[in-house]
Amino acid sequence: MYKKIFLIFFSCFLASCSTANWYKPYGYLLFSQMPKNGSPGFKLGWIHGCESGLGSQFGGAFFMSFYSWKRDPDIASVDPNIPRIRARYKKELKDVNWDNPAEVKKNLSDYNTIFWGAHGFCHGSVLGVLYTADMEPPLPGQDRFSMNHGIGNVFKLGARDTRLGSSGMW
Amino acid sequence: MFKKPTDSVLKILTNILLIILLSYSLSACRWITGASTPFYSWTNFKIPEGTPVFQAGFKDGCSSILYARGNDFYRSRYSYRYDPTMIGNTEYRFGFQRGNSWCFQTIISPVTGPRNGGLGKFLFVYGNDSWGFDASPGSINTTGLFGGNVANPISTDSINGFFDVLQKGTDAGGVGGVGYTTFGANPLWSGGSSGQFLGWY
Repeated sequence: MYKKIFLIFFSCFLASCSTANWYKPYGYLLFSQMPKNGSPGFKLGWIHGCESGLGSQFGGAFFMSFYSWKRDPDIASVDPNIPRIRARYKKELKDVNWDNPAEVKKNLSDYNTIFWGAHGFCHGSVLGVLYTADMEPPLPGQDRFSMNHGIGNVFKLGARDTRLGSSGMW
Repeated sequence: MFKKPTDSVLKILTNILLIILLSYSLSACRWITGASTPFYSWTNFKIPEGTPVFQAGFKDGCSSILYARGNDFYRSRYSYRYDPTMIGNTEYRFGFQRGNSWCFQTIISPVTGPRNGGLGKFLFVYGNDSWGFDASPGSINTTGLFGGNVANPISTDSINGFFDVLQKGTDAGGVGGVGYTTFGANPLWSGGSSGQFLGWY
């Protein structure tokens, strides 16, 4: 019995390992939504964008503890330093044919194009989750932690779901 | 001269009348009259007219934002969608952005917008909380159109607060509207001494 349970959990563990940041808060749910058929540059840009979005103020102090700004300045540069990029992302960009300038350009372009899209999606998602639990991320100048933001708020999921109605005649 | 209509004839006429009235009622239904809108609560979003590429982008953009800013109900139905093979297609990206922004405006309404409770939240789908000011006539009369809470983190809690920051800057702690003078006057009310608005009457 315990062996079966262990095997089930272990299988899930192995299956989730292929997803970036699967072990971080909200990591598996968000990063598993990354489109699978993108170029290596697209995937790297998507992951960096999502991490940057989750590490923004929209996620509040909690998510900022796990994620941070990730956009690569060399890839974002108008004059990208190819050797440095190649050395930095040996694993992530291993499928890029570095001898083909057009392919390199396409990958860097994909990175920069999708970065902000993924950023917007992920910062919107984490803000949406906080709102759903009737919480709001602290803004600059406000306390980093409020007792109203206790861990018990996870049980408030759906607090702003007006389909059910939180007040009034429903 | 005229024959009195029989009961069966009256019954048929009554039925016809009922069918006509029912047709009128059904055709006035919001789900039918609003069928061309891209999205309506409880239903799948509608895709506006356009090329297939635009429509694909619109659909993906809408789905992505419905997941991000929707509640659990929407998260169970939608997810992030983006076709990487279309990343170089400006028409697809245009559609994506349009779908994203349109559905964003719609989804934040039922989720975080009108929280007054009651059926009114369905009537006033754009709510008032989400836009930051109460546009009801009574509120405008008492507190003014700019008396809401759009700029909640800013000291004056209003659209006026945005301009308040421009006028006064921020203090050392980053709190807006209480620091040093950036402009000599609040640009929102500039233009004269008789309560003019952006230089207009």
